[in-house]
Parts: sequence; C-alpha cells; structure tokens
Amino acid sequence: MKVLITDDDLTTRLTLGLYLKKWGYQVLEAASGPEAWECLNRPDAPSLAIVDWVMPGLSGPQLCRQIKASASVIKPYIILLTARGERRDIVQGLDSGADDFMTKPYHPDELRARVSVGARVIGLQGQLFDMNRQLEDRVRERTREVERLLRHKEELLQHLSHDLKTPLTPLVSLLPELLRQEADPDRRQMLELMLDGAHNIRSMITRVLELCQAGSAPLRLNPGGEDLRALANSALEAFRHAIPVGSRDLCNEVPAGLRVRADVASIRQALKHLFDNAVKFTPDRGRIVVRAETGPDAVTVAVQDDGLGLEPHELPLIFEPFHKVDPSRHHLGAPGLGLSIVKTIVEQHGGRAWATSPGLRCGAVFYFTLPSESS
Amino acid sequence: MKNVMVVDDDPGVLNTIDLVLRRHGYTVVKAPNGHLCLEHLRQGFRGVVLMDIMMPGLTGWETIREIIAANLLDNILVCMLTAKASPGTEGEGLEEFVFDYLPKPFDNVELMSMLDNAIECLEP
Repeated sequence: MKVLITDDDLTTRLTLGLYLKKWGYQVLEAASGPEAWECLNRPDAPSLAIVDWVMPGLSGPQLCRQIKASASVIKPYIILLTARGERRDIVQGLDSGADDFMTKPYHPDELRARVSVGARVIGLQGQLFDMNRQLEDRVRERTREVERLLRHKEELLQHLSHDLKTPLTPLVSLLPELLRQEADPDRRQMLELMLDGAHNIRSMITRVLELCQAGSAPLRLNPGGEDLRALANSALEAFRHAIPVGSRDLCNEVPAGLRVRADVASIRQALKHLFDNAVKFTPDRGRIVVRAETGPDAVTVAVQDDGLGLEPHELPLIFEPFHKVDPSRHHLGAPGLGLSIVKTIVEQHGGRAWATSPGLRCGAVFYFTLPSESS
Repeated sequence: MKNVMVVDDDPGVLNTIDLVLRRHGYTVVKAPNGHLCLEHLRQGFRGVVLMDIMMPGLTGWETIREIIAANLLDNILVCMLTAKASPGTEGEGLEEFVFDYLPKPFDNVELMSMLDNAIECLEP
C-alpha cells in the first residue's frame, strides 16, 4: 500500500519514511500542500496520507478540505500529524476532513497502529466499492433481462393476436350467412349470440394489436405543428359514423389557432378511443365535448362526458391495460385497452394523460397534454 | 360475370369466402397457393384476384411479382387480404398493382362491396 508523507521538514519526512518502509509500506513524499494535492490526484495515487499542519502554500486542514470537496469517488485516508495538540486543534483538524489526528512527538508504535487502522478502513472501503459496482452490474444485467422479456411478451402477444385473426374469419363471415336465412326465433338468437361473441373477440384482438403497436413506430411530426381544432374535427367526423345518428351530442369546442406538435394519425387514434370510451359510458342523448386550453409549454386537451362517472379510487387505475372499473361494466363490451392505448400514445409525445370525475353518475373528464408548437 | 379467384393457404378462409361468395352469385375459383393462382391465370382466368399476403412458398407479394413478370395482369384486378393492421413494407413498389386491401377478419358486406367495385372497374 502506498503512503504519502506531506511535511515541509526534510528530517520528519526521512524519519517517517524509514518507519513506514520498515512496516512494509511504499512511501511517497511531498514537501508542500500543493505538491501533495498534485500527488493525490494522479491516476495511481496513494490511498493514505500523513499530513503536517503548518506547510507553505496549503495548510494541512486546507488540504483536507480540498480533498473532501473533490469529486473523486474514493478519497485517501488522512492522518494529521502536528505539533498542535490542544483539544480545539484536534476538533478543527477532524472537522476539516482528516480521518485521524496525532501529535508530535509521536511514538512509533502508536503511529504504526494508527496507520494500520487506516489501511483496514481503506480495505473495507475498497470492498464496499467493489460490492457496489458488482451490484450495479447486476442491476443493469437484470434490467436488460426484464426488458428482453417484456419485448418477448409483447412480440408473443402481437403474434398471437395476429394469428387469431385468420381462424376468426370463418366465424365472422359465415354466421351472418346462417342468420340471414334463419327464421326460427330461438335459433336466430343463438346465432346472434355467437356472432356477438366473434365480434367481441375481433375487437379485443384489434385493440391488443393497437396497444402493442402504439408507441413503437417513430412519430411523424410536421414542421409548424398541427391545427388542433382541425385534428379534433377529423377524429370526431370519423367517429360520428360509428354511432347511431342523433344518439349523442358530439361537440368540438377546441379554440381556433391552437397548434400542437403531434403525429396526426396517432392523436386521431387516441381521440377516437377517448370518444369511444365516452360514448360507451354515456346514456343516449348524452353530451360529449372536446375542448383544449394552452398552458406555459403544453396544450391540455379534455374530453368531457355526462355519463356514468368514476369513483375517486378508480381514477389512477383506469389507464392500466385490461383494467375495468367494475364487473357490472362488462356488458358494455370494453376490453379495457382503449385508455392504455391513449396513455401510450400521449407519453410517446412527451405528454401525460389523466382523468377527473365528481363521482358516480356525474360524468368524467379525460385529459391529455401535448407539446405546443411554440415550445 | 362476377369472377373471383381466392388465393389463401388457410382452408378455413378459402372455403368460407367460397361459400359466402357463391351464395351471393359470384363464380369462385379457389387457389390454395401462389403457384396455383399463376396456373389459373395462364389458363385464362379473368376477374378479381383476392390474395392473402402471408402464405408459405410464394407470398402474396411474390405472387404479384410473378404475375407481372409473366405478363398476366391484363384481365385481372388484385385485392389483398391481410391479417396485419397495415400492408407492411414487403410490398413497397407494388402498391400500384393492388386495387384495395381488406383486413381479416372482414364483414361480408365489406368484402362484397370491395369486390363489386373492382369488378365494375374491370368491366365498366
């Protein structure tokens, strides 16, 4: 182990050096504070330093403070060796960052013992450092493994959903043919139930695939951004065809002139899921409004309905995949993926998604943010 | 004539489309792979070719390349059946030879309206 002796007195350096070499240490010498500082910052620096108090350039305590304030991960163990022996000197020396304190004249046995304490501490520090590094390596390795498994799971889900579409084709195609020619009411009902089931499976598969794909393709962003009102309008228009005419009031109250940085196709998809969600939980002749307001660096978009609403404890969970608020909503045919798709898309844009509701049967508002084009 | 050739390696899909279309007055030719599709074209098939993209052996896109190479495009229009959400990049450059795409599983109404559009283009 390397030990640095820092003292402006040559005799002290030589005597100390002789002892330390006798005890098996490799000795380096510095005659001033700056010289010691330079030596301690070398790549292969000594790990223990015996430092005098009064030195030209930089005093012992000043050197200690400089070392403790430095950015290096492993710092040397410092023994202040000085003729000052008052209690306040000891306190000041240790407070400045020294690890130990000895007064001159010293007894060689005591010095040997204190240096070996230092060596022990340095050894433990090294072990701790190694263990830490090993742990960090392990965390990195495990994280990579978890990421690999997650990717694998996603690919599996994607392949499975994809492969299910082909065998579903005969059901979706042939059941309507049978139904078309069936006159018996009971048999018609049976066929209708089967067809409903097939359609539900189809909608689930489509959404699982959408969720797998959301956020994986790079965003296509146009310079100058997109007009949010026009974007909301195109999403609303595309959606209007999917619901019975006049059943719900769909309103676009996004102010004109708001520009957002957005991938048109994915934000339209996100809005479609929010409308779909709102329609599902809003009774006939309900009202669904999309509005937006601009903040310091983002635009907040809100889709408000006057439907079923949510209880406060449900609000943080609804964006989780496959989460359904309560079993009674199963009949509404929601596979519980729409809002997760919204969240994934919005987060890819650097925004966030959340919901508020005054309570059950009081409606709900679903929000998301998008970076505004000026930001 | 409402002539349709269905090219799909999945017997379930192949027979389903055959059944549905025959019941609605179409004449259907079945081809379980790309090679048989080419064979029917050489024998003079005229009409709409409804082709699956993902097939073992010749894929849908490879079959289209063969059709172009053999100069058999004259009396047909090609519609693609796809299980993927988007047609993918494999067929880049071949889009102009495809009349329309239909994602699986499809509604019969969608299928027949696409086929009728194609047939109308083919023989106005």
